[in-house]
Amino acid sequence: MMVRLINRIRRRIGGKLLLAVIPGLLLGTIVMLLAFLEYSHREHAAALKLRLDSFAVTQSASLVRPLWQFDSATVDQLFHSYGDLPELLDAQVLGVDGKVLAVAHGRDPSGYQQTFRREVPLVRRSPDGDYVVGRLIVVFHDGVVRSEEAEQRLAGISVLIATFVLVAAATSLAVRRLVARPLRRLRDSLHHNAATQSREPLVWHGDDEVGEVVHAYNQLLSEINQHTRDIHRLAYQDALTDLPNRRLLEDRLSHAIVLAERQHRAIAVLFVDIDNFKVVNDTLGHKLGDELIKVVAERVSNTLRMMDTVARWGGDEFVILVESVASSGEAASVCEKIIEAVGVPINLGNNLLRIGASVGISLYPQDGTDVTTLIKSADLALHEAKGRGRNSFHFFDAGMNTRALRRLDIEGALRQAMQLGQLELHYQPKIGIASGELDGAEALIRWRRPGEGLIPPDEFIPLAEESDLIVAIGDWVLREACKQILAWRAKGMGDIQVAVNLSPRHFRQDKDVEAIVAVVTAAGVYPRLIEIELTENTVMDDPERVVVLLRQLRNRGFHIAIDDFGCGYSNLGTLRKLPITTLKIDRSLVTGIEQHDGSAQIVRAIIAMGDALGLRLVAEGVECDRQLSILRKFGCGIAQGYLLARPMPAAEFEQYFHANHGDAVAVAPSLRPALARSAPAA
Amino acid sequence: MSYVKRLIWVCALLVTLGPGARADDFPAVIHFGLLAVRSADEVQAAWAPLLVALEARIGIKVMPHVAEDYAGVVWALRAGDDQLAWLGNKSAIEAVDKAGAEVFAQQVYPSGVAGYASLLITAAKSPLKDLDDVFAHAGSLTLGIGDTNSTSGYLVPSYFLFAAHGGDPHRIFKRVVQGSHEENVLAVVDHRVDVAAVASNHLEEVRKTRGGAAPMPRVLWRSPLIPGDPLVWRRDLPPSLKARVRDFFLEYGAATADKPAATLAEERGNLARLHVLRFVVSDDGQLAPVRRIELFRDRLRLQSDVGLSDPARERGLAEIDARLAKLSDPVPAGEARR
Repeated sequence: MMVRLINRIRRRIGGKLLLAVIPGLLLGTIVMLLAFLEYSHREHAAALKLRLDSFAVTQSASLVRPLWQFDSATVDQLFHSYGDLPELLDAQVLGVDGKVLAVAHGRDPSGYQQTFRREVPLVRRSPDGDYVVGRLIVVFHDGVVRSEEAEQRLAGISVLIATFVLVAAATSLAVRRLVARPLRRLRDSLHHNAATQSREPLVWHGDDEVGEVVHAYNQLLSEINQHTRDIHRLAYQDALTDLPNRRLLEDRLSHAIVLAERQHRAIAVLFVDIDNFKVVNDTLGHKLGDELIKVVAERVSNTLRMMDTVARWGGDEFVILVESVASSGEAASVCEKIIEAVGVPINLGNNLLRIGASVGISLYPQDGTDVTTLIKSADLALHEAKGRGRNSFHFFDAGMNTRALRRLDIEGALRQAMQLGQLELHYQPKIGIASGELDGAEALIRWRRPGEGLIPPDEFIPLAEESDLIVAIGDWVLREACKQILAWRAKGMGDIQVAVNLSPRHFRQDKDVEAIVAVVTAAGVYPRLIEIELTENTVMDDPERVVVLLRQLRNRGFHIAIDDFGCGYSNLGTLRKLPITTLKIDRSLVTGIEQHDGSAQIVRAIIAMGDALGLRLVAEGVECDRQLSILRKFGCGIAQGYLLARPMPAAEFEQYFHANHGDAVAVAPSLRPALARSAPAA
Repeated sequence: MSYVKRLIWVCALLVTLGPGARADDFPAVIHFGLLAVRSADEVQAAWAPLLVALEARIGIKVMPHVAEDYAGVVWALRAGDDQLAWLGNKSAIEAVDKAGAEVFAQQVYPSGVAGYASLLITAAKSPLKDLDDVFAHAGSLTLGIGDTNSTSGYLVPSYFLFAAHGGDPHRIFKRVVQGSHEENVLAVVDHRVDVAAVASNHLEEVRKTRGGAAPMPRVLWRSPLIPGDPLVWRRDLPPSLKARVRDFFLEYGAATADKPAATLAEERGNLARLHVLRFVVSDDGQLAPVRRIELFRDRLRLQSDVGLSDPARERGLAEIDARLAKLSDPVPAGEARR
């Protein structure tokens, strides 16, 4: 216990100081005390002897006369009074014949160690001569002195202990306050900085040595900080371009691979090389060559998202890490952007240079699952790109390369298609099952590409959805539908509601809704004539936002339909909140309605639910009478499908309309048999 | 003195005095110690005729030595500086006890009495008849008494009279008035006190001064005689010298067959100057009354000493009592010789 306490004290600086100071202090004080006690003892002894002498002398003077006069009473009285003398051991007076005449004993002669004896002859001086009348013998003891000294010693020791404790406490406090606490703070700061890998300076007030140490410490920290930054930059950054270097890229790539693996995402690694850089370098000099690399680095960096990494691989080579690419197409478009950015003429030392860049692309996980392989693959792809003609990009995987090219081709063509009027809308009528009447039409996009004929939406819409092109397409469709509505109306066909499919990208921001409203308003069409179709997935991406946006549309009067309902994973709770007007039952359910009892039950449930929520129900893809009759039996309101009418261009739709719904009341004759067949036997 | 006896004496002296001591080894000079009861010159002058006569008688030079106090004579005797001395009773006790002296004669007062006494007196017409009467009615009587330090006025009556009746006169009597001898005598005469203790010589003096103008007080009690002042010698003086000295003093002022009348008258004249009628033989026994009184005083002091422990007091008292008992002769020598 004691040892542990001492060890604990020893470990602390205050304790060390105390252990160093206290023995000295103790020794000094003890020596002082001993010296004082010795001195005091001598003083006391001397004083005692002096008292003894003076007592003996005065008493002998007092005793001579009574002895002379044989006045034993007075002698007795005198001796009697001696008893009060604390130092007296005993005193006696002897007559001239040696007989003891009087004796006095000390009252309480205890605890003495030493005695002091005085013998004084008692001499009567008279004119007739000197007569020795007796002898006085006084013996003093040092008991009183001893007890005084003992008290003094006790007091001295008490003072010593008190001083000792006070000095120890004061030293301890002072050390703790002036040294230990500051040092502890310093230590804690060191520990903290070490533990958190940070270098937070220590806030300090005080300009003593500790303050200086702390100041130096803070300076050291900031220097270390600077050095660390420098080291980091040297280690991970390219000195010329300030881009991450090879090492940092590899680090980030390996990190990205781990993330991508966990999140099942793809990564693209782009290996970029400036075309004919050697020529530039040789003709313009290294300095301008470096300048060129810096410009290229800057342009490439500006092209990319913040989260992507551009690294200088060495020479005129850059490696770009594009995290979480959705498809190879996205990677390809990044390459295109890079090539485009680099391709902008550069003013370099009064020379206007036009340079190109080649890019090799490798994708995780297809082309490699580790850093080395991915980079090697990208490098190989780069060489392939160079081999096939510079200023282009190439995928490591050949099939992907083809698809990417095709996609880019389509994407580029699609942009032009809108301007060239190659896109057109076909309309598929929706027919009320009970009435056989036309109940609006769905606008479906078609791409009539010269030389290729009509390209189905399945082929280009998904591509368009990879970029904002889909929004432009959506807008075009909306505008076109509005124009058509107005045209039909002008032709006396009345107000035909048209359903328009919009992609999830239309529902990302508030202003997307405003754009929709603006288009419709500008066209001068009642919003109620527009039914916006969106898929379950569009809603479920971000239900809360979409609900808000849809509500805005619904408030304007737009009708809203959920497309392909039944094949997604709609949250029925969310569905209830949606301000929708129509549910379109997915064609897969309708197709299966006569084969699998399960589909029929689902369709019936959907219909029941739609009825309960007061929604219009449209069955898509109705292709045979039996489907229609079952749908009728289930109480589905509207049908859409080849059985009733194919999607058709506007002109064809007009003919169809006039043929079937020309009176706007009668049911189309061609439809009648179908409706009649599916009708229950009356 | 036969030859054999003489030889024995010589041998005894040789043994006691050591080599060189002879029977006729008289001191060359005799120093006579005198108390300075008056001035030293007066005392010396008063004693000079006697000493001259003594010198002539013993054939040794006699020098007076007037000490400045009583003790001076005792210490001189003790040291052998004085061989003869005239002392008081008290100092004679010290001389005898401590200085190796011996009483060989005492004075007789001019009145023919060899001492004085302490008296208990009452008014002439007082109804008190005797001591028994006094102590029987002590509870209603007022006592006049001397100073506490007065031997005859306080000590002597305390010892001889009151000690037997309880000790402290303050407890015995209704009231105690302290005063001088004269005052006490007059207080009795004037009936201010019922009884008073006084010294006999003082009563005589009052009687003389009043000259019978008023009836003198009656004496109810007379103490034993306090002997007159003694003459002492060193005990180690040669017996023959002692004999001569003693003979001288006894014969001085006494009518002897071969002394002329003129010489006798002169001697008496010389003695009268010393307030002495004559000297009579005495011995250490004469000191007994004063010893007794001294011891009694010691006893009183012991009893009243509050600082003394009880055992110490008991021890002291026992010692004093033993010494009192040893004073086998309860009757003072002087009184016996009267």
